[in-house]
Amino acid sequence: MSTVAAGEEGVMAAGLGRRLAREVASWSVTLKLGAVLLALIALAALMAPWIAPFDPEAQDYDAILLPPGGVHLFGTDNVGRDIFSRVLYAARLDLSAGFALTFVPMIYGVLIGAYAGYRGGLVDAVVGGIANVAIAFPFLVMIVVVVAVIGPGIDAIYISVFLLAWTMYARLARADMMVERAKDYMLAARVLGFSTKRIVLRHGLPNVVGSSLVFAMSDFVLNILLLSGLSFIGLGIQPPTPEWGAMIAEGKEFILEAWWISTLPGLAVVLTGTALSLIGDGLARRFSDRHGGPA
Amino acid sequence: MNGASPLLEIEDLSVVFHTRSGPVLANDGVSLTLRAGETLGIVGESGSGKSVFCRAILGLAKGEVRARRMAFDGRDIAAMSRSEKQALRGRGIAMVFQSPMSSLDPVWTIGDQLVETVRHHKGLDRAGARRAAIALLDRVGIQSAARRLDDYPHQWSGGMLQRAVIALALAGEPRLMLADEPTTALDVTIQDQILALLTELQRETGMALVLVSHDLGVIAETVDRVAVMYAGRIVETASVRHLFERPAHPYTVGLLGSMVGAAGQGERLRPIPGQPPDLHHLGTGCAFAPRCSRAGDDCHRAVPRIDPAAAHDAACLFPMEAER
Repeated sequence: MSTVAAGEEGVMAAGLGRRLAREVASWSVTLKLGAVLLALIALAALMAPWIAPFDPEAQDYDAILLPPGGVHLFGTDNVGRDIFSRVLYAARLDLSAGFALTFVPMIYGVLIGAYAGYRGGLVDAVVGGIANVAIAFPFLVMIVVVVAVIGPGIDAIYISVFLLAWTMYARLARADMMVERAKDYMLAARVLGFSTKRIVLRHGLPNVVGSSLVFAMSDFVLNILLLSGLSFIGLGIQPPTPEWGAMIAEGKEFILEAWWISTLPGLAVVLTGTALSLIGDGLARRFSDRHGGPA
Repeated sequence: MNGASPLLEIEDLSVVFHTRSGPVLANDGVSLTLRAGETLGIVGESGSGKSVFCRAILGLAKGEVRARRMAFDGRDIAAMSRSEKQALRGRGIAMVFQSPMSSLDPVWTIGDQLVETVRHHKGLDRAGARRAAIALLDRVGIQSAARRLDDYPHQWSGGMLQRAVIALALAGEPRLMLADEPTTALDVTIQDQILALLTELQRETGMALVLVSHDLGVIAETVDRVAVMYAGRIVETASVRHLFERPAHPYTVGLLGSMVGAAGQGERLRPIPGQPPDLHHLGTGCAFAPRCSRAGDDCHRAVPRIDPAAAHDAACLFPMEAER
């Protein structure tokens, strides 16, 4: 009976709040810094309609190419639009598109790769073959084809990325799963009588998703850069919608007389990239901690 | 032998791995019976097929498994459906592995894994399962179990982890526990504690225990009966006392002679000459014959089969003493 009495405190300890607090407490400074930075950027994007002093698409020909300072915190562009407001609104688009472009393919990529890695044999060979074709396919050719069919814009980017980007995650998850599959705890789970589905989903996936999550953070940065880059060459977001890459492109003709049009949206990209990289580094360390690896 | 039906009956079990360089006979005609509550040691050097044997019983061996009969509690294991096999694992037969560090999932806490297992076997609610998990850890000798429950496996030492693995194995209240080299990865002081724990749990619960080890010393202090394996075959079965006092198979004699402590004071250890055989190229004869000083021509032609029901039997044409 004394066991049960001593256990009562333990029974309560399983609460989600306590668990979350313990999780956050185990984060490195890098991870905390990255998380705070990204949270601030996301918050600014979320609150854009309340924070932004001007309509991001409103033109004001009395305030053309004003330098940063005064009412126009980041200055104005060649048609008198407020850069600060545009950078804020662009964050909404860049963050949400970057998020979707990264995590949607990650979900099915990891599932496909983990399943192929666990099953091996024919399933693995078929998935591997499809992945190799997808990897060999040049992305720019793909997007040009899609744009030719449905026209330029964010949808074309979504379609192209969703078709091709899952392969990286599938390869990572497949390789990790092949290692995990051979480990004793997978066998132990079978010995304890668990079903294959449960073993793959509960014990396999959490162990293979780590490297994909770490990779996703750099992929997130790359996807924002991709979106900006495609918008820069005119295949992505169309003006006048504010988007960081498109804004940089718009400012390129005025780079000598009005540096702020291109530079400040560029800074936003750099800041977001830094936050995501910090998170990626921190996550990598966090996962190796949990596996008892070197801190 | 009394009339009670045995808990585990294995007759003529063979496991073949089909490799690129040809078939490998990992288990060859293994027969074994185990009564409820009995403790059996399986001893043999690495590669002799001990682990494969354990996995074959659970239906988890990778190779091709054939057996004339494989029954647990009178029920044919080969004829079981997938869900019946899943129910057998954990509830009928549980297993403890060699390396406790890798037997637990690193991403879940010890508590998560115990709670999951208890709920799976007993269908308890979360709080009830947590209480049961704490009781299990308590029972395997983890101090202040309630506080340690939310630790991750990497926060525990090897000895503690092996206790947790044993707790997991106990969760389904198995009637047979297979312990595959449970102390090999642990240091010597911890080895004794884990063996004592297994013995104590075996007595308390009345479950049968199969202890697999390459170490005769470990076997001797834990079990009643021993099966000696060599090259995938059982070459001798006897009670621990008989095995030590009157070993019949020359290989057993060799094992005893090479064991620290069994050789008399001041005596030199006597290694067994030669190498273990290549399982790719096993002839029809006794696998030990090439290394055996007593082998005659007949030994290279045929192996005598062991009688699994006998109290003491050796698969040898020229056993050391004829007083079996």
